[in-house]
Amino acid sequence: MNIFAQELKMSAISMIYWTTALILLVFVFMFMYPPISKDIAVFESILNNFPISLRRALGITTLDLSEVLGFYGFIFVYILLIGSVYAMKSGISVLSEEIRSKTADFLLVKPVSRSTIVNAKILSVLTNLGIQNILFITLSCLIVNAYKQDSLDAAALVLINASLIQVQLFFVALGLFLSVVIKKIKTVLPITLGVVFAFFVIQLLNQSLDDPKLAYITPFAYFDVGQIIQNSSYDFSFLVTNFVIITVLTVLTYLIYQRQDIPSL
Amino acid sequence: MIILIYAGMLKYSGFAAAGQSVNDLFKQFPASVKAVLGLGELDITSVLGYYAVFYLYFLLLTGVHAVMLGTVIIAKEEHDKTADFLFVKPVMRSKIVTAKLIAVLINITILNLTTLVASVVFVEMFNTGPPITDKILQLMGSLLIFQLLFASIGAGIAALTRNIKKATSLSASVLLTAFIVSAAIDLYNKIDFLKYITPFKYFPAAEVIRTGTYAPLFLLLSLLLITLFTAITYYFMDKRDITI
Repeated sequence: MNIFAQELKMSAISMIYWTTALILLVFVFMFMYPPISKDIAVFESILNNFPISLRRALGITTLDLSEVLGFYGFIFVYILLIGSVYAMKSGISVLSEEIRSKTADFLLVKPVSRSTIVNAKILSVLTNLGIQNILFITLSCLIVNAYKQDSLDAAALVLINASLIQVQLFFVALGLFLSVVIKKIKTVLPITLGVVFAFFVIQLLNQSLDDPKLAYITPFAYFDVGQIIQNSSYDFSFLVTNFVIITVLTVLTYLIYQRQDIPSL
Repeated sequence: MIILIYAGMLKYSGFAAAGQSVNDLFKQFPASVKAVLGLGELDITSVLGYYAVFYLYFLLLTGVHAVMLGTVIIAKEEHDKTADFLFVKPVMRSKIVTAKLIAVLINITILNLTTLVASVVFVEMFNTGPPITDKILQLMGSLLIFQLLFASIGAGIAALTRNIKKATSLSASVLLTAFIVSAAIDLYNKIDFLKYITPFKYFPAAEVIRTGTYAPLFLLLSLLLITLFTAITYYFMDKRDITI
């Protein structure tokens, strides 16, 4: 419990910064929605006449940018990106920080098992993500709601927003795993940005090429917004993929950390 | 990077075949719709237009690399507790900074050249039309300026901040903000004036390919910023209190 409280205290400020950034992002992008939607509505009919294969290639299969939800789905990619950077940063640093700040020997000689430490630390990351997502979902739903024209598919909006934490969990698990696999992590952010942007670029590639195999490589493709809006549900196979990857990586983290050599002073 | 280019070009062969008729449709698109789709004024069924789509990916990946490299190389001595070892040597601080910056320059150039060679080789492998090597060279030129800019921003930030954690978070925020702003500009062209604050918009691929040159204003702006941030690095590293 002490470890958990200490972790939360140390990471609170950073969580607030990142959450503010996320909400600000929605706010600024939604601000541009009214003028853009007017622009797009005019061409909507033209777009709808396109063959489905072409629209697929353009990544506008089901996203209708003149609709508030379609527009929100379009900008949601950037929210995922920022949220993922935060999640991965937390995942990588929470265990490896002790080694970096030379406090590992202080913590690990205490009469608590390593798995208790990992439990407390992961729990603190999850708590942060939980708070962040509650704040984010509440405020972003309010903002989007303020811009709606007539009706709004509330279920789809919540589902879109709820996909944030699932992608974040993927990156937390990946971060945890990398932090116990890589021998010495000197700085967290270079690795974080490198990995998250690599996945992001794969997703951009996936969007323009539309290769079903490519989609499994990157979590950014797991919760396709267009598909969510259309069906008001997640794609089951991706949901399972994400869950399996997260579980495997977390279990590996526990196993490896259990028997890891921790350098002391 | 090499894998990215290869996989991408592999896809092109299939894409180009299906694309001829699509292209006529594209021509009817209004500009704003094309901007939203990220197509700009390029014909993505031609090998050149297709390649230009990749330019954004290069910008993203090399941007991350450059800004982090620039930040870490300046900030790491104190963090690794090697600062007191290095800075008591009879070498001027400016010399140390120079050596570090040259190392950054070499790293960046190697990444750039790798991308260039991979691009030329793979594009030619799948190219059915006229060669586009000269255009690739031009794009890699602007990519190099972009990399230098972000590396100098990173180094400047590292020299200005007290510890490596702050330095890397600040650099990361600068990069993310620049990227998000450029995405916002793509989406909504009335905020076009913001393009001066995001290097992602200094040398748009479509523009470079169409005109064959870099916009002089942005070239000048880039050089100014690079000089400014390099000067900041030297000045503040010279004055810095090194914590040991």
